[in-house]
Amino acid sequence: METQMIINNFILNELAKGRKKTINNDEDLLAEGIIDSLGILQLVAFIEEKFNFTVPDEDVVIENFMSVNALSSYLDQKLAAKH
Amino acid sequence: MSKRFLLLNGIAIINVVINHSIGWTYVAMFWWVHRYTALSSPDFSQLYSSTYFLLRTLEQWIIPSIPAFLMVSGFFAAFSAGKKRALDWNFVVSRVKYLAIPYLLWSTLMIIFNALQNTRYTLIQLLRMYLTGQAAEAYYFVPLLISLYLLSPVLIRLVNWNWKILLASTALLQALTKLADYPVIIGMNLPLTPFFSFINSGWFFIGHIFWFSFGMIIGFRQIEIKENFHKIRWLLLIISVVFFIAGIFEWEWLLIQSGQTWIGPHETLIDNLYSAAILSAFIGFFNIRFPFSKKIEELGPKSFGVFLAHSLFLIIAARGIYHFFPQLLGLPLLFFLILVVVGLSIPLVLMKMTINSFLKPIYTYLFG
Repeated sequence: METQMIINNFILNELAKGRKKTINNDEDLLAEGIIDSLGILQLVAFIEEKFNFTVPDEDVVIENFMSVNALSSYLDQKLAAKH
Repeated sequence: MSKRFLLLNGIAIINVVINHSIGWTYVAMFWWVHRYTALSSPDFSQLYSSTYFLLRTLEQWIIPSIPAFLMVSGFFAAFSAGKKRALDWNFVVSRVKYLAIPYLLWSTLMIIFNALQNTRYTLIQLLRMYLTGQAAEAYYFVPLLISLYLLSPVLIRLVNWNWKILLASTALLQALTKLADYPVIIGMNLPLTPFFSFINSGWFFIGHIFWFSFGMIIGFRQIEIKENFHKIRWLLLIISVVFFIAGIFEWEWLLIQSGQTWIGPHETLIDNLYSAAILSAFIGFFNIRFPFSKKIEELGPKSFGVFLAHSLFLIIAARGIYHFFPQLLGLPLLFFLILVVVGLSIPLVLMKMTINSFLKPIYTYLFG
């Protein structure tokens, strides 16, 4: 839940650039135009810094970044494995 | 490696501003001479001066900027296709929308700016300007990128079918297009010269399709490509240096062959080989941190906004100096530095002001 909130806030405040006032956790971030190409790369950089975890290249796939829910479940899984 | 592309975009946008600042510095050195000497313009006595060669070297160094943007865009198209390896048209429409709206807006601003200085356009000229990105020297890139995004679902299918054939055929197509540009550069009057000139138009995808395809293939096979380029990274760097030097000599040779005092910028085949080598080397050296990487990475996501806005502020700064401080035109390196600072800083300040104001909801329509 907390991961979802952190990601949602970051996307809304830093990446959406006023395109949306709220983001539904299930919304398709790319197809809806909420974030762009460089937004994805910023999101990777943010996750690495915030969660102190390096996202492997093979994990930078749309399936993990498609929505807030997809990204938070990917992160929860990775962080659980790390601990 | 994906984070590396943020850095690459940041470097590329700084280089784009440097490139256009160099263009204005040439204008000051050759076409505005009458403003700071008793000579009449144009005057090419500063051609082959140390300042000229310094600027030419810098100009050659930053050639891979547009290829870098196109490569990152291709990478993103591959990312968006995901494991199903097919692009959703919603994605293409969304990308085109957020590229086209700010582009149309800034093109209109440029056209109004020129109209205020008594430049008049016919309807056909206006239409051509919007469709081919002629409102400012840099704008050809946007129609080019839009056309590549529109082609991306087809290109993804071709990657799925056989990525090696796609890479080889787009490389060959682009190389042949660049070869056809040589008669145009040196002013040979052949029956096909107008056609060669057309296919080498900046906005036309044929002459740039390799970069986008290359980015797509990197997107799908990034681990394999990263490791392979890492193994030959030093060789790639040496090849880059060889083509970099060859490009400088080639341009002077073409200038002599043309019989002209000056020829406008063209990206040659040697330039393309240099871009391919240096971009591959950049991937190969993925574990090297550059100075100021963090700051440059922060610039990466703002690159489209800077790209659109810098042209207008460079024109205003250059013409302002021409009218009010003409002595500065006689100090080309200082003039150049002023333009770089203006071209980078004013768009960034404008973007920051917009995002922190009531204009935030329209930020994306202004700066992408």
